[in-house]
Amino acid sequence: MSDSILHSDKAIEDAEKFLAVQRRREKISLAIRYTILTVVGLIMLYPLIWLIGASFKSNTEIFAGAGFMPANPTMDGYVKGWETSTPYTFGRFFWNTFLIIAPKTICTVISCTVVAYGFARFDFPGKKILFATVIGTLLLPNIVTRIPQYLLFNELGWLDTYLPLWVPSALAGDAFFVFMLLQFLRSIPRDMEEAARVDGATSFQALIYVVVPMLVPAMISVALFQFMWTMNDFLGPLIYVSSVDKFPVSLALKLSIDTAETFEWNRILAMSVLTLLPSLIVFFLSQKYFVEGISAGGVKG
Amino acid sequence: MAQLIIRNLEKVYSGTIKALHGINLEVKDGEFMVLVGPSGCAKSTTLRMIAGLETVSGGHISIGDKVVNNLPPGDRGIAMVFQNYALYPHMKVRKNLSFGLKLAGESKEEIARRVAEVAEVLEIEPLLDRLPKQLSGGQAQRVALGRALIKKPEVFLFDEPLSNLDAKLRASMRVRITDLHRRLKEQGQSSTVVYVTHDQVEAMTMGDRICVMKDGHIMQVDDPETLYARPANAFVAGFIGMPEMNLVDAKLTQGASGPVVSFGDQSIQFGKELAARLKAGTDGDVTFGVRPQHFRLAEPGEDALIAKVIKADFLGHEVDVHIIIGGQRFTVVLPVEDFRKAAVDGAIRIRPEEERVFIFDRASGLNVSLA
Repeated sequence: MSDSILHSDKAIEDAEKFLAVQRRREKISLAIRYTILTVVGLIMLYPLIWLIGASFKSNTEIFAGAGFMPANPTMDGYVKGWETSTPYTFGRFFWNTFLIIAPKTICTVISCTVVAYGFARFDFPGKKILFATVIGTLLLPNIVTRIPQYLLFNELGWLDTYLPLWVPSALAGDAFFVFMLLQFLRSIPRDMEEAARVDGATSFQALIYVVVPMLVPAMISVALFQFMWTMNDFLGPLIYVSSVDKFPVSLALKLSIDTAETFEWNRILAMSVLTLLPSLIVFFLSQKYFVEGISAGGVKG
Repeated sequence: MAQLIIRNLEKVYSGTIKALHGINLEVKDGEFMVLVGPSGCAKSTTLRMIAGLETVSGGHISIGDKVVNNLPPGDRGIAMVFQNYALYPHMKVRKNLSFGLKLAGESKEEIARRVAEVAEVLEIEPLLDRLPKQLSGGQAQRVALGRALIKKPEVFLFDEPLSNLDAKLRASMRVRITDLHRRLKEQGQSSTVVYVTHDQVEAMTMGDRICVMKDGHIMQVDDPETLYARPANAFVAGFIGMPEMNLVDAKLTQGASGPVVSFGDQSIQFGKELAARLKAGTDGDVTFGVRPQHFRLAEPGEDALIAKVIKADFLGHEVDVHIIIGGQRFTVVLPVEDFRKAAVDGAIRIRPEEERVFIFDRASGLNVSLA
């Protein structure tokens, strides 16, 4: 009896010793993991940090060292950069970008939802071929369609307007979004729509009152992607927009490099920071829906 | 007044697969009709065709006096309760109830009045401002029921509405639905019901009439008692009743005082009652059917079957005995005391009750002992 008690005391001691070792190991491994994460994270973010820091430096200081802290912080880059070398301020270019993004994003969400709903819920003749075509355009490199597209828009007299930039998207031209919404729709059971049909709704009313509310996370993801891609799009405006007063920010940034004799890097960097802001703000505001939307849609980003 | 008439209704999938083979069914005004059958018998398809959620491949459906084949679901005068409730997840219960009325353009006062009325009947007033995800299964099903009720449809369609509920809740919902049906009928409102289930207990307890289906064919349409007492064929006989009816291969011959049924090396003599019922010329290979409850222990000296007991399941007041007679397996339900007394050396002497046995044609499965 006493033997076994002694024995169990020793067992408990051993167990505690083992637990202590384990705890220590966990702490060490945690420390190592966080150190690596922090270092790698910093390396990846450093260009961005440097960009923000450098936008407050004077033009001469920028190339003096790789450090990001400005020695004499100045708003000069922002003030002068905002004025630009053209008759327009940078505000004008932001407004121009907005004029492209707003119709493009809104129309994309609406048109892609309708098209995806059609593919997901209805059987119609030629559905398979049509769907294959949509997915086919997804695989087609953008570049190869540029020239025929340019000729087409030229015929329509749309050059130097924003129409070529957003009308194709407004007609569900972005196969990726159609596909993403379609995947999301497939995960939503049909019962609710059927209940709505029995309640007297038309297919379209069922879409608006029943499907869309459940589809919101995916739709927000679509809007976000479209927002960011349009904000960053350089080639599209470069090809179709030629008047400076219609330039969006992506072209306007390039403009300041073109026209000035000596590049005012601090102005360019300052404006770049401003250009990044809308995307960042929008992303952080809707991060929750964004992640929900892409993960539920099965399109892991 | 809304009777539902189905004429030669067919459903063909992708041009070749025939799911429904021209069925005919009449549901009278105010009748509670249950469609029952094993999975894959096209009972749900039939219901969905009545609702307008599936297209009709052939034949026609009429509700009241209009053919509804090509009407959208909303214009057919029907309401449907789905198996998994299908409540609109983003709408509060109140909005779920009123959605249909709102689409129909009812006035706000009328909607409010009818929501209150339905909520009272179904005791869901405290739930009106909740979202569907905040409801339990039973509550959600009551709301789904309310959504159908509020429309005052001519025909109610139920698609296995209770199969997601636990046994106890299912029993109470069963009573609630039949009560509701009776009340609607008393108030003179339209109360024709088509109720789909795979559960024969639900079918027997709820239906005014039951339509038994198999593989896209209707096997028999009758009230529960007739269905139990006079099954038209072996399928219905086996489907209705718990435990299942014994259906075994047997040989029928004409003995001195009536028909003789033999299983392997054993046989039993029946008398005039069965002889009178049998269709003329029935002989040879047949399927013999008798319900487990319709065996009794044989008196000493009486002509009887010697049954070898394989297993006995005690259920308290009675016992389900699994036995073998002449190489064929049977189940017999006996009172516990009787069984204890009778079992000698793992065998019992039993006799089927003559008035309750059925003879089915082996090939067609038709009941040939009904006349």
